[in-house]
Amino acid sequence: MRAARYYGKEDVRIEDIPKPECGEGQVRIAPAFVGICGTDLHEYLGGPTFCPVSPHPVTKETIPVTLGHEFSGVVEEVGPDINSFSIGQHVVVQPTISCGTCGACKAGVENTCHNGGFVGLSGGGGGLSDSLVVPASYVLPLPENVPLDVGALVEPLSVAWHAISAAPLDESSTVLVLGGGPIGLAVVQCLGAKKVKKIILSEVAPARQQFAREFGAHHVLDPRENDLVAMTKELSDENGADVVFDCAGVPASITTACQSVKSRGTVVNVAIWEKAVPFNPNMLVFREAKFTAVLGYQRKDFEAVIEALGSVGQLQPSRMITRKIRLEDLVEQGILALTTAKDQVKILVDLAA
Amino acid sequence: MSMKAVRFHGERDLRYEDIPEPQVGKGQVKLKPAWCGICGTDLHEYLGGPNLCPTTPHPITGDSVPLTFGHEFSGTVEEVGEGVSDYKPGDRVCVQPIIYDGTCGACQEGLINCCYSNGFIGLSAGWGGGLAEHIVVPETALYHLPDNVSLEIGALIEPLAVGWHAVNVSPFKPGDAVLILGGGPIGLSVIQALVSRGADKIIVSEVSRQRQEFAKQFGAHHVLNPLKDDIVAECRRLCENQGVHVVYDAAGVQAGLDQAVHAVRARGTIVNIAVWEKPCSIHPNDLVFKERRYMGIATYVKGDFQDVLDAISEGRMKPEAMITKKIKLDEVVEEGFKTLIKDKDNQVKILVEIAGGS
Repeated sequence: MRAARYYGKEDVRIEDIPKPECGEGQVRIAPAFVGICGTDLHEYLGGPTFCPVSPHPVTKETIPVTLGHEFSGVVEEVGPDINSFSIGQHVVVQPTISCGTCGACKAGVENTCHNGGFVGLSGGGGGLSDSLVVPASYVLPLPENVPLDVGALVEPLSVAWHAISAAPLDESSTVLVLGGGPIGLAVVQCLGAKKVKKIILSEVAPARQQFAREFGAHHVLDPRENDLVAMTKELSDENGADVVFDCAGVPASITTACQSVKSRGTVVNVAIWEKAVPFNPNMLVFREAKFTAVLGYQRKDFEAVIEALGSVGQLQPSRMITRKIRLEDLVEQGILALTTAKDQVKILVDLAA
Repeated sequence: MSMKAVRFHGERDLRYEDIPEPQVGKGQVKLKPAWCGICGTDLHEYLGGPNLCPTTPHPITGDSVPLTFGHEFSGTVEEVGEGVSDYKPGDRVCVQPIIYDGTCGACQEGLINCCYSNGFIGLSAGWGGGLAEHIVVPETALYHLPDNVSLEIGALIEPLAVGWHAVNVSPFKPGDAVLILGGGPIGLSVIQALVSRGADKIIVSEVSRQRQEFAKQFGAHHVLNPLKDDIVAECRRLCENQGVHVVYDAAGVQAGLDQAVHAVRARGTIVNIAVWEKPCSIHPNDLVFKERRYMGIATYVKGDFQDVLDAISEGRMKPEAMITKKIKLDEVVEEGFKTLIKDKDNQVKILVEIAGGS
């Protein structure tokens, strides 16, 4: 079967590999649509970071590994003991790999597992292939009214859902979102699903500013032209934002976030950072504010997103899909296109194309 | 009428001098300060200020440098203004020195410590200070000392309230393991607040041997030296290989933060109490990959002073040993500030006795 395999920096190959066997407790899935993520991009440009160069503690695999961790698919085969899924059913996969035995797993925080990883990055196959086998516990059914291409957006939306669940929020909250990339836009949509009335988004690129407006941001500001701290205060009776989501991860954003948040407010860091940054704790001291970091998602986030997609109108993310490509075009029209084109949100690989 | 006061005029310029005695007004109480502690913040101001002391009129008090120092103090009521009914001459009190406007967004949510215009009596706003023979403060700044709490202990309520507030606002719950960075007065007050709540695994990281001894004396279960011990490895070893639940940073230095982010477990919290002298560096991924949290803490809110007074009155907190030296008002510079600069390790709290300490 075909698979897009990561060999190292700037080396992703579409090649033929054997189809994996489906055993007890497992489900075989034919991926339908697969999103290309910023993490894939980072692996390609500067990795391996997540992809294991020594045997992964859980999967025991090393590179080459198959890529693709944001995907939907169709059930092709189930293990002899599996009756919760049927052939032909539309599903999504929560790609979290965790050991189940470390302190974090025992504390119910398996997304921070000391030995953790992801299907599609750490071994165990990936969505960018004609077929993969995963434990049935990784699989969630997709409601009939949710198309398979939207199913591939469940993963990034779950990152956002997990992030907004980490902060105290209600409809009356003033929220500032820094960065209008896929995750920033997903955060805006999840806030919209929670009916938050005042969503301020900061973004430099005009195309992304436009997306942010379409997805429900009430105020869209260009950080080069606006004083974000002052504008956020002005929009919140001089108090500052109840919650700030940092989906940008640049040195200026952490300072803006900590200065825009109100007394006892919360800064939620969703970004992954490339290096250490200057930080002045006094910014948080004088307002008793919190800086909370979130990572990935948990099963309840996947379930909440799927429910919101299934029920009418709560989440309508299909416009996030800005391009669909063939597996053979993954590198040129997918990964490399994302490095240059700021008018792209989600590029999906259509395995059937 | 004039009185003696210790006033801050600028960097390394603290003067014991005569100034006019303040007059009591409506809603105000005139006190005779009895004991007043010298705080690290006073020292910073003396060595490198003015930083917090206003050089232009403070928005609430209208005062600016020179200002009378002293924000950790107890005293006796001398006279009360019109409309004051809860206090009478002779009452023994301590002062919660926050000055706040009561109208801003933070104050309206009860966060007077985060008031947009806030300041401190005896430091960053004026209205006099504890290092004087008399002071006039609003009635709302006062707390009665219980009969079994002395005026000397009354001067310790302020620093103890800082530690109490930090523990109160933090996610600490009984059974949690904690690491405290720094065994100075605030670190020691955090230890005492935790002990009074039944904490059974308090780890303290402190360089000075004398302060290590104080930490043990006040109830720390494990005292580590960051110059010799691997703080991260020790915290993991002592806590099921996971790390502590909460870190309290009462040191405010880069090396401490670097240890804190790895000594705290997944979803654990770093509680910063320190006011930092300069920005530090942090790698947010160190927080991200374990969903760790970092929070700032500022002084105290209404309720903390009373909680501390109750804890002492009921014997759950015994802070006497924090007092390491007592001096007179005319010795503040030589025996107070200069001792804290030269002999910091052996001192926790130096108390200044004013007018015979009663």
